[in-house]
Amino acid sequence: MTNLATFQRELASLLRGEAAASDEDYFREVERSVGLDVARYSVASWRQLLLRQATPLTIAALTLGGRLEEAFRGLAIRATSAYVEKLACEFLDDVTPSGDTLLRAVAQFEKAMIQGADETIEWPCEPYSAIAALLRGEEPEEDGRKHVVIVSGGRFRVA
Amino acid sequence: MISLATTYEGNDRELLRRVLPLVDFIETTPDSLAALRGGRPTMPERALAELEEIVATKRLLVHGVGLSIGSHDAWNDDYLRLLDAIFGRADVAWHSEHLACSRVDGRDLGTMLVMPRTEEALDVVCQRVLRIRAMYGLPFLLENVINLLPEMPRPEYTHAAFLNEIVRRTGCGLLLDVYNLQCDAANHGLDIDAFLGELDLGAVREVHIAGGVKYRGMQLDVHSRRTQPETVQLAQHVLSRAANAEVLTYELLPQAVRWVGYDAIVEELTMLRAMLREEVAA
Repeated sequence: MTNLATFQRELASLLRGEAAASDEDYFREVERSVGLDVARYSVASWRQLLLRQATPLTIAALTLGGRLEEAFRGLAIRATSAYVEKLACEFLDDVTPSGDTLLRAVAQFEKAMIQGADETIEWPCEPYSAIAALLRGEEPEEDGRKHVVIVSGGRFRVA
Repeated sequence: MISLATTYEGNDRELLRRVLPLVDFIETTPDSLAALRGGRPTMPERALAELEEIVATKRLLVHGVGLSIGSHDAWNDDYLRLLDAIFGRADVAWHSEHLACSRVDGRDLGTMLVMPRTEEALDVVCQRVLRIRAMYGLPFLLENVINLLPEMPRPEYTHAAFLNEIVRRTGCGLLLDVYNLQCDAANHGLDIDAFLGELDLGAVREVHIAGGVKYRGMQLDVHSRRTQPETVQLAQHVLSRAANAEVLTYELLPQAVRWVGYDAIVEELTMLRAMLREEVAA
């Protein structure tokens, strides 16, 4: 039997969806097992449940763009924390570089709200209507203008 | 007489109002109550105030998920700060943690890995159990967790012998989750009778009971349902043999409260309370 450090590191890699470095038969068996798929599903489901509560606008924007599953797969590899605030920020950091201006705006907005940060964020559409549309699962309408949202201490206003 | 407990993770006054008259203990999870402040988990004042309110009429149990007592590198010091905050404000009957690893090299796994049943793993866990018992001077229990992955080859201990040896070396108690035993029986063919026959049942101080779901043929420990009759029967069987068991705890995820519903939770606790009273009468 391998030592404790190798045992835990190999299983952690497999849970994240990475390959095991060891060629021990046991890790090959785990890699092929239904149990590993089920464990990954269990981890992903739990994190998704937390993120649907913590980052509803970003989840809605990703869903509309058909990119939610891809974003969750990325999170499985990079997530480091059990705490929803940090997990949410890691998730939002992942999607912020997006070329989709609305997705980038809502991800920056939700991160600033979670962190209680002071930030000014440009939105490509009227923010209140956009938030309402996203929460209904509808695509917000861009009006060709820039709208500025000022976030401070967990509150926001439209400038 | 076995006392009844249920889980409560804050922010649900209606749940608390409904369950408090039915239980003797409330069991709470520090990690669920905590919020990040400045990058560190801290216990919010409102959560601590609510725990103070609970201990005015009921006893409190603390059940962790975040210590990661079995990590090869280190346990999670942040979890200890949460314990410090709770123990500083509320009397706690005992605290418990899962016999597992939930972090590796400082990164959260999103789940718990069972410990390999080896001498090395035993040494790691026992050293830490002794440390945490010395730190707090409170009874400390370890809970059996389920294993979704294939069983490890050539273990140096059986499931029960591994737990027995931890108890023998450290003097800690056991929190036996009977639903988790049923998961391991369904997923890996654990022989529950043989396990209980070998286990030092005198070390069992608390029993967990829950209901969950299946996914791809495997039974998951998500604690999202009411209990099944066979789980209640297994709990009765254990409680009748565990001479030092004091509490039966019905576990339910806070996220599952709205799926199960307040009325069904009250029915579940009422049923379990009646079952415990019948045991005494018998």
